Amino acid sequence: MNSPDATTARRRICAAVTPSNSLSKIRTKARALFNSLHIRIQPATELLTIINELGGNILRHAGRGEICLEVLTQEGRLGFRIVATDSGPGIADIKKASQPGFSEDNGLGLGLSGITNLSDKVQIDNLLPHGTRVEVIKWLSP
Amino acid sequence: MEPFSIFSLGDVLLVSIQEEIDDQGIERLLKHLGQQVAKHKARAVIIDMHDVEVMDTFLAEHIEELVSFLHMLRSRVVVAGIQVPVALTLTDFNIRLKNVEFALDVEQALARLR
Repeated sequence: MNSPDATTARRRICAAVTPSNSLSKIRTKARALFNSLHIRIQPATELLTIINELGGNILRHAGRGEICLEVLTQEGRLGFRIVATDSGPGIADIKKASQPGFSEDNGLGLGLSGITNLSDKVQIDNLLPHGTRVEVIKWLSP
Repeated sequence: MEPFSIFSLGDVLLVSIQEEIDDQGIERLLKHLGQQVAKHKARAVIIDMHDVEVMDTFLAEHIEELVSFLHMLRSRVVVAGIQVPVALTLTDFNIRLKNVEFALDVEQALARLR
């Protein structure tokens, strides 16, 4: 997909998120990728938390879906694009969902606003006929 | 294998949580823990988070649930071993584990409960 942030994609991994494998597949793949790129523990923890949060949303609201993680480089900087897609009911009010404290299931409601704090770009789209696509881009500091 | 383990240290229970714990896992933990607290007449429970490298809002919510459940059973709760990157990320997520006592590790938690 081309977007203003699109750069040379060096590597991309994807894994299904299902009730049976939960988030273990994507977590294992992401950890291996971060290790191979020597990502420091703090940004790696932040990225894994974003992945977990998106995966948790998929499991709770859609039951199953997919998460992809793509390595980005731009002017010597390293970044990651995380895309979570599902074919669940979608988000009724995307703007509201991004605000702190909003939750459709009485959870803490801090997920999407937390992801926003930890990343450089968050884009949420409802898919037709149903589903949600959340794209998160996070650049690492040099 | 369960994503948690419960050990009895006299009248203190030690609960070790794995990060893979999900909604169903936490329900099973609440059930087991309720029984164990009654059986051992536990006055305190230490929740060891040392093995948790990633804590998202779902897990944070579960921990809050767990703490409030244990408070209802009149147990004192100490959450031990939260790692620094996890604590920093929790702050970014604006997650405040309210009414929770913390310790750096299980040893410190035990010393506090003595």
